[in-house]
Amino acid sequence: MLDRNVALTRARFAALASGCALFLWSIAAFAADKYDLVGKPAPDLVARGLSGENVRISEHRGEVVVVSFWSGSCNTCRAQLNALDRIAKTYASAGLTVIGVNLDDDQARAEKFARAQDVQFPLLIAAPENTGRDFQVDRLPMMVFVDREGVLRAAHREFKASDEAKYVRELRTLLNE
Amino acid sequence: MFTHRILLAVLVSALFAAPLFAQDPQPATPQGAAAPAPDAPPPADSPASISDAPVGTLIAPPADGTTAAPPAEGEPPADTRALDETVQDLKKDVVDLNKELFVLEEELLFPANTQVAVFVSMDIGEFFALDSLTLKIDNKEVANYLYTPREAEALLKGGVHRVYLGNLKVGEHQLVALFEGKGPNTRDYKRGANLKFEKGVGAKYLELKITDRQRKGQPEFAIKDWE
Repeated sequence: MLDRNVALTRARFAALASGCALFLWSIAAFAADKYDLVGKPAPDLVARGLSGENVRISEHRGEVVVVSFWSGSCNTCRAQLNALDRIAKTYASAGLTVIGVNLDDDQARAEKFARAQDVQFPLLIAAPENTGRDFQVDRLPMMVFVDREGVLRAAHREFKASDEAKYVRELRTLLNE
Repeated sequence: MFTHRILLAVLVSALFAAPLFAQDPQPATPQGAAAPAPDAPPPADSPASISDAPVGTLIAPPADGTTAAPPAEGEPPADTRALDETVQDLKKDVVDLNKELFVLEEELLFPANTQVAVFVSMDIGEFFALDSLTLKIDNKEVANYLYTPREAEALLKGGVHRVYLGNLKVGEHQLVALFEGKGPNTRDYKRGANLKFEKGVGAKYLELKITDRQRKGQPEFAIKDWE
């Protein structure tokens, strides 16, 4: 009888502990999902592109800009860059600009990866160290949408091929503004 | 039996935690409740305020038919023009205020007696295409600027770029400028220039001048002190 009570107390304690852990984890997940930059002016960024030319985001004021952050060691990044290339080709004439920004420490690997991509938009290799912090990049791939006024309007911190239509819808809304 | 209870506890916790995972949680609106406009005032003749009404109660409009008729389609209300003028005046005031604040900020942050500014200008640019510039004052890097093709083009058209604005104490200082870009025959080109200058009590303005030396077919980098 005593053993049963001890076992029951232990089980209750374990259940309470797991519940608390789950609760704390969910709070942490919620905090991680928070993205403060939406609705604020997008941070500026200038870096050297693969072709050797420097690209500055603020020079594209008046256009809708998609900034895609990628890494050479991420397969989903490849899918995101390809999807963005398709979208860019369709909506470039409407004022859409896509810029890919690499956040790898290993520039040689990033350059090798970038050269293997068949995309038309600029891929920036040597981004300044503070880029990830400025744009609050906490996972890759990630992309942000900047409207014609230079305001950061949306952030997608993961890429799903099935969501491509949703991305296009959001971009069309920004292009129509 | 115990395992079932544990599973139940975890499931209950998960149910409580589930709404937290939603990226954009929307406040739940009770079904049947009227959704008032955020800034709409309550009807003046309502017996009690909307906040006093129990949740789920429909707020009825005034029954005496005193509600203002909506303006005819395509016809703006009479006071729209005046409102528009007021908004424009306010916008102008904001712009003026912003300008004044900017000047004030600059005067406070960089007072004339310690102010040092460095400008970049370019001549024809036949022998050099500017890509980046690094500035060091007293062996400390104070600026590093990457020029986009549009910015470089603007410099070639006569633009002057203020690449650095800061404070320095009175005395002797050394400025080193490192230029990177494409030189003659579009080869990578890296050059430096330095200047020892005396900072007096007034503001100091220095100009980095990139010119073409036609005779040698090379660019020339000079630092000019504006007295």
